[in-house]
Amino acid sequence: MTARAILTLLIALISPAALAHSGSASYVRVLDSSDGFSIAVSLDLRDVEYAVGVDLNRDQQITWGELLAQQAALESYVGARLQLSRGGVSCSIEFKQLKVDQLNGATYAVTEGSSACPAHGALELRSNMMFDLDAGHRSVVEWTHGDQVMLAVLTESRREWHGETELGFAAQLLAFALEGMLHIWSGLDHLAFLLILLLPAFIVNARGARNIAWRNLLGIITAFTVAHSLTLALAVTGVVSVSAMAVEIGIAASVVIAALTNLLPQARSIGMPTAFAFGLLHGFGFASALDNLGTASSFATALAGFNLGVEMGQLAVVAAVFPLVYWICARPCYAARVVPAVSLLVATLGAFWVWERVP
Amino acid sequence: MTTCCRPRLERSVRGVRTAATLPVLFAVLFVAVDANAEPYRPERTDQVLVRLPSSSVRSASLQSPDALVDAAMAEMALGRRTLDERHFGRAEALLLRALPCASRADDRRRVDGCRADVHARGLVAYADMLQHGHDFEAADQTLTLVLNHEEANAQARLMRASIRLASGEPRAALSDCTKLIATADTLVATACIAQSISLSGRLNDAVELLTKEIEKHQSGDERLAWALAILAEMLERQGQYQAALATVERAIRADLDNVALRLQAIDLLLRQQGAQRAMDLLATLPDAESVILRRALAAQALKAPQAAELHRQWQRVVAEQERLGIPAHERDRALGELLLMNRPAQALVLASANWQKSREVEDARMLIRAARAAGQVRAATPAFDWIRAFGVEDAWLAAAEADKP
Repeated sequence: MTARAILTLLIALISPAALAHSGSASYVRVLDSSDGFSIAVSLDLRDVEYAVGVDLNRDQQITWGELLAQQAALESYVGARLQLSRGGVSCSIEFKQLKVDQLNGATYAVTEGSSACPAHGALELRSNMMFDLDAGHRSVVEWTHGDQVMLAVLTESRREWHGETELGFAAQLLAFALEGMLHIWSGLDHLAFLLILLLPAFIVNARGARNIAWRNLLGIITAFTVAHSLTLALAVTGVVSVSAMAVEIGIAASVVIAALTNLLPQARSIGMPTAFAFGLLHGFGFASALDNLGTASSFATALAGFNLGVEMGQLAVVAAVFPLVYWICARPCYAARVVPAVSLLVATLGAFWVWERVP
Repeated sequence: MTTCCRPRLERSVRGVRTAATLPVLFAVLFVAVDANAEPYRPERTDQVLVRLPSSSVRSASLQSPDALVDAAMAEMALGRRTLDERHFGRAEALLLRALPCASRADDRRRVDGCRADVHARGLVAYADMLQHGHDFEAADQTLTLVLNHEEANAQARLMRASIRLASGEPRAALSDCTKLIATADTLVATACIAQSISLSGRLNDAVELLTKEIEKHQSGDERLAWALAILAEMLERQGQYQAALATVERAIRADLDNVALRLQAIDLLLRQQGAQRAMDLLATLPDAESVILRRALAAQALKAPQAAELHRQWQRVVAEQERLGIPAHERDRALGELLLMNRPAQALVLASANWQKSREVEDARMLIRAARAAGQVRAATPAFDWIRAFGVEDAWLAAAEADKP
């Protein structure tokens, strides 16, 4: 081992973390119109220097004159490494104009031109720009056709783009509905709260017949839905911001309060207001699942899909427990023993969650 | 209950979308911002478009494996000095040429076909590139390949020790460090041993051992700077914040070009109400994500007027990284989510993901902070288990453990 090698290594070992700029990126923008394709390829000047060599006088700076002098070399580099095709037919690219641009705080050379392509067929783009020189390079492809914009990020191991598009409305809705459903099913606290409110809706009348308060049942589900939808929307749009810890503790506390409320004689009549009041709190809890999509273009779809999924998840759980509760509620012990016992059990569980969540 | 949402979200969405759709959805808004800037043709040919911070060797003419490895190492050194990730990408491209046996597919790197007797230098450089990207497992395997063939390779031995420390395995690291006594100089071996035993219940012994060794080296170079950086980190864990700060500042004087040392000092200052001094040091560093994050944190602590703009600048950089699908430095991201964005649930997801890869004291602190802020104290259990398993001593962690419900 040479002394130099170990010194170099020591510098590396002081901080093994990746503490760096985002790396190099290029942009390929293709405008697909009735007149044909126009194309603009933007490359960071630092990458142009590394790939082509622009700093002709080696003074550690690049002037517009130096870039113009290497225009042909740059166009040749890009032209040899960028392939466009449509319907399996290769499209020729002709570069006409060189410009510069400022992107993300860096200066880019922009080569603009046009491409002769068939009017129809599947689009394909392959780029070998920079990847052989920089394995971490990213190339953003932006294809515009009328109002439609398609985007892709090419990498060293994924250099081709096959005209894939964003998910359609239905697919996005389905994806987020699935997420909402999984969220409610995995959130034992949300489910415990909902189920505990529903128990008093199943009671037996004086003649021993089942008397399911359907309006009460639907009312509770609707009140919970409306309330959490409201706060979910307010939270993910950033209109209201609430401490996550406070929300988590509040949700656990809501389970305790709702369960204890069942022990009161008027439990059946206050189920709906309780569901609404605490539903507001649960909505903030749901919001954390959608926070990371707050800036996505499909935001409204995501919100609607997620909410839809939460409701479907709730209804599925109610449907699953309905036969058991329906069967048991006809028994004399239901109102007198089962409801209080289950409520106390859930209240204990809720109290444990409160204890667990308080730092 | 809600912390599980993000991984599940990603899994379920992944099920119905093509790869990288979310970054692409995210990018739609961002590109719209970019589109406001119009390309132009400068009026004067002598107009300077860009000043090059440093010149990389153009690699096309390089052929021999040794020359390619040298160029790769130079690129990585440049990357560390400028905090510019492109140099690591260039280094990898050079190393892939120097090591035809190495492969990269779907961002998974392999060196299965490499022979340590032929490619040792290139493999060590490749491992350095891997550990920079926090691919500790692959880096460890690569270095083990070299060490199985060349037990006395001190560079590989020291790097593997460092990787094992970063992976939270101080006992395995100590085994490598002790073998350095015969092959590396005393300061390097001692610093390595001290760092290992400091994480195994012997922090005071480690500080004493390293302090005595450093006293023998008054004139500075990179080795001394490295040893001082380790000592400063240990002093901070002892709760000796002023001594830690003085030590890291001495390290900076010993190696003025070392950006990582400055960041270590800045982190220490930010943790100990030294935001103004941190801001002064940050002004000397390039505009990397890590630097912008710390500028925003310092400005926030100082209630400076530029705090909001720095906050937005950090968000823009993160958005660009996500747009390009570049892996995040999760501990830094968690810090930003927690302290800048006030989103503890997101911070916890990131801190937990970070803990899966990197298990240093600072990673444990981050996980515990995020778990507490998110009201999910149990999520920090792996960090507390690690502290107990190795007897890790740290003033902050001890206070956190004592405060645990």
